[in-house]
Amino acid sequence: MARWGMVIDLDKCTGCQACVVACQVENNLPIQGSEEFKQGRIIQWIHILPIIEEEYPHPRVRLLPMPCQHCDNPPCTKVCPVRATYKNDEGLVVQIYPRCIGCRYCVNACPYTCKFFNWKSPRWPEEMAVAINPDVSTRTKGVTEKCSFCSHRLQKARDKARAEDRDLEEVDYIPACVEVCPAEAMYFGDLDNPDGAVARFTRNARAFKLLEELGTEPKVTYLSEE
Amino acid sequence: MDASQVAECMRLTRRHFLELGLIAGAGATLASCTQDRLIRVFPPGSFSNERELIPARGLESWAPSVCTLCPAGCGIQIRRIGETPVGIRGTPEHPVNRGALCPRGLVGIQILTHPDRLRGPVRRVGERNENRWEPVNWDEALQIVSRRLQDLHAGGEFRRLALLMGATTPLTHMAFRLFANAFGTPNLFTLEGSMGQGPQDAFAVMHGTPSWQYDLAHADFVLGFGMDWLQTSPSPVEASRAYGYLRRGRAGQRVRIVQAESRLSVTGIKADTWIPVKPGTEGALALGIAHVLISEERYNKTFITQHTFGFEDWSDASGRHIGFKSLVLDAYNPAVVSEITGAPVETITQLAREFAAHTPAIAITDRGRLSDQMAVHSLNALVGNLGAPGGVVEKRLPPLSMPQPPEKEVNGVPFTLTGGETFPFMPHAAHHLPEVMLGETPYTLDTLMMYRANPVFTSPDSARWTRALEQTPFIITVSSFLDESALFADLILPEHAPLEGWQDAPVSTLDGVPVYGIGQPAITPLYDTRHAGDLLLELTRAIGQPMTEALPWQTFSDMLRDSVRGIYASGVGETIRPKDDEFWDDDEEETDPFESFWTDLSTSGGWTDRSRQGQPPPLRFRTKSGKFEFFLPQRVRQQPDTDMEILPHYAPPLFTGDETEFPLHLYVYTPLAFIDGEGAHLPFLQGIAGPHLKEQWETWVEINPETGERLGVHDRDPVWIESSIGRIKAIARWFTGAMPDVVNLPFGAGHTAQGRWAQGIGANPGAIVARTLDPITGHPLWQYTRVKLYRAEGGII
Repeated sequence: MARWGMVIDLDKCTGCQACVVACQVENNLPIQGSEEFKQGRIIQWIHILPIIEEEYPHPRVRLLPMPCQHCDNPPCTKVCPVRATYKNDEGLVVQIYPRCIGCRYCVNACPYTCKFFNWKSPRWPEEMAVAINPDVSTRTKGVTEKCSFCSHRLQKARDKARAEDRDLEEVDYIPACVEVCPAEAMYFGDLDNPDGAVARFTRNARAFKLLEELGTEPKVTYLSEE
Repeated sequence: MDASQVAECMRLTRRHFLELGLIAGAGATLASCTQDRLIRVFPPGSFSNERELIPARGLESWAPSVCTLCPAGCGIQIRRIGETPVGIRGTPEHPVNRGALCPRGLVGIQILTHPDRLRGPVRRVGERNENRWEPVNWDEALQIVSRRLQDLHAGGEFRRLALLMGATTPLTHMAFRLFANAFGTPNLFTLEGSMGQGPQDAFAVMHGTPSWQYDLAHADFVLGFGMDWLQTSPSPVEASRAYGYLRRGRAGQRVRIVQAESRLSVTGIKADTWIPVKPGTEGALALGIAHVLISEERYNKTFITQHTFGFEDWSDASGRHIGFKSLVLDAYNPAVVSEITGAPVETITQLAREFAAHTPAIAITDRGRLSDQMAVHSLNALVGNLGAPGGVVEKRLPPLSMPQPPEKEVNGVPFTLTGGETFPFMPHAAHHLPEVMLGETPYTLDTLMMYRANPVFTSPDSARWTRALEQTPFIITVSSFLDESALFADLILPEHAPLEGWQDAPVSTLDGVPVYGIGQPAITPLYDTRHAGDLLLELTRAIGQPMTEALPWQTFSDMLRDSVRGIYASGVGETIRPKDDEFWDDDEEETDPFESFWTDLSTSGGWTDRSRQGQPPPLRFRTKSGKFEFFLPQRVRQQPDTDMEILPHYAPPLFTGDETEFPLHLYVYTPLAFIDGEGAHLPFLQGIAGPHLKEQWETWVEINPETGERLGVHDRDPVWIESSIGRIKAIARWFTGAMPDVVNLPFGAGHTAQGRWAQGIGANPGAIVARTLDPITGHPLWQYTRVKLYRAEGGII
């Protein structure tokens, strides 16, 4: 079985946030507003983490796109009392929305702040409700959600391969953020394919992972600038 | 099923299960209840929508089209389930975007389904700006307009009709030009933005045409002056792709990027070095670099000799004139420039040497003051990168056969409305329009038609516009949304959302590939709206002659089809998406070959010619001398006082506001979310406005921490920012990327109309930026306002 991972090259990323919006549109993220912003409840499955160091006149700022890290040793799955989130055979940390009881232990446990709780019912104006992506379940109030590496696209890719009577290939499955990136800064694929781009990049001199010292074993690898 | 039926189910199931047989008509209901209970896993009331969210069902299809939300012309595919559009992705084969998209293109469907879109023509009820409207049908609406225009025409008062346009597709723009020309009015104005346009005016002056661009991806050193090119540029996707390529596209060759700007923008963040310069002094910095290049003889002498005019001193009938070289050597040595800009002498010298050491190096700037534009652009001439890959190259546009307005003679009638201040370079200076309208000379307007223009929001000191609009007898607005300017209209004619109508996008990629993107309507229009081009043609027919002669087409798509005959005749190129059969198949006996071509073109997303990728058009200047000119030609600057004023020079900024009362500088910038001031009505764009500070859904003002400390303003305090013309409220954010005594405001939020997600969110810098127009181009200058900043009482705004 594949073990899906992502690489984000920070030396190519321009902070344009096409990934942020592509994810919102693809995954039917709720439409929010200034109220949610002031409450700190904005839901963006992939979002930019700004890191500001140093002072004027030599400030050092980094803009880090952060999706769910799909850890191999995920803290969130360990604290879920009802197995509403777990790591599957392909390394994806998946969710079963109807099981979620809204305890938010996982939101607390995630050191990357990648889990988001629906404090309100997501609501779309009638006119917009018809245009949601039919491939992705909408969530409800009281349910936690997060980046799924667009696992619905994996399902579709599998179906397509089956219909075409062939095996699934790595290139058949690409999350929305990786597909849209104008700077071509994101890569996605099977970490267990040693010749694939993703596996090779994890061995790159510029490669690093976030909060490695916590032992979460994230499957998102970053390539540092320069 | 709706909520009430579900509630009914719950009651029945809970209490009357066994009695169901006795309840007339309950059988079928129960069956569906039970099935529903089995399928639905969420209790009723989980969704606060009135009805349950049921996604579209049907066959999936992808409609090729082109995004026209900015001039870049990215290729898109619209995903439809049955008849419903549910997604947009980039077209992988499209030369502009190659499968990628920027955040704006992605939300095209939300424009279509926006709940606050205008759904039919409306007419004003009551006074202007009361926001009361009554529906009127199209026939009646067009009659109102055509009668008024016929009266004007019959009375010989053609000029009293004015058309004010925003950004639109080239063919739609041409339709309006033909209309204005046929009607006999010279008063067609285009409201162009200032940020993200590149130095078009410098190109026009020094090359003879503005149709040039930066071939970013192939540069070997990129030096930006005040243009946040990663956020606002004529082609955002290409700019991002160029960045990625510059950094990692070629093994072992990581291109250095330097940004000189009065604020740490996103480009500054991603650059290797940020050079803070005092507001309004980027031109001086460029001239300091030019000084080093010239005095140390690091410039490209061959290029200067062969392709430029005005570098050396020269003589003409009016005497001897100093050239660029003399002026720079005389006035802009690094010590002087360091004093002006605040950049250390060492920095200026090193930068110049680095600039000269790379071939090609490119100097980038935006559409600020003309003298600054010219100063920066001179650096490109000095290193001779014009017309070369990685430098400044001419656009290569598709060979369309666009209709052109015929030559018209207008005897003894001034060809523009600009009676007061004159802008010889831009006689149709839209930004000067309010002053002329209010001045009522040389004549008054009767009718103003606004198309996709929202000057009340996008202009500095917008009160001038509201006054001018208030006194215009009749205003028609063509727009999809009720924005601040539309509130002044007497009649609003709503246009289609982009997905509902034909789209045309003739563009040149940054590296010289011509692309003609085209999109058919992807869905049936949701509401009673019209394509703006079709609307204009209907109006033409309602008015009659002489209009119908100039605009003979039945529909806009007919006009489109005619315009592509030029591409057909060229015999080169291919469809953007590969076709199974030969594109240029002349062996078709059954069909007219042009019809076959048109079908291929309009169903494949468009045409391109990849054969000359990477080869910029041959170097050619359309100036009087046939060369790159270092100075403003006489026709543009009618009475120069000195030679210095016609050469690229540093003109001290025209700040407004007393220095003591308003001790801080205001720097206004446009995030990618709000290019051209458009985007705040779309919620996902509001959500990405300020990533560097995790800011969104409000207006924040960036302030240097030391400056903040001194003023007693701390991070997240609500504050007033006040200039000599007004004040607005914002949340102060400490930011080490803000220069001392310079405060930075994002432009694009602060609407008072345009729908639920725009209205009442944030504050508009336009309300406090004074009206300062460039003395030559008439273009607004946004960075010359002094302000003061102080805490606001009360809590969160």
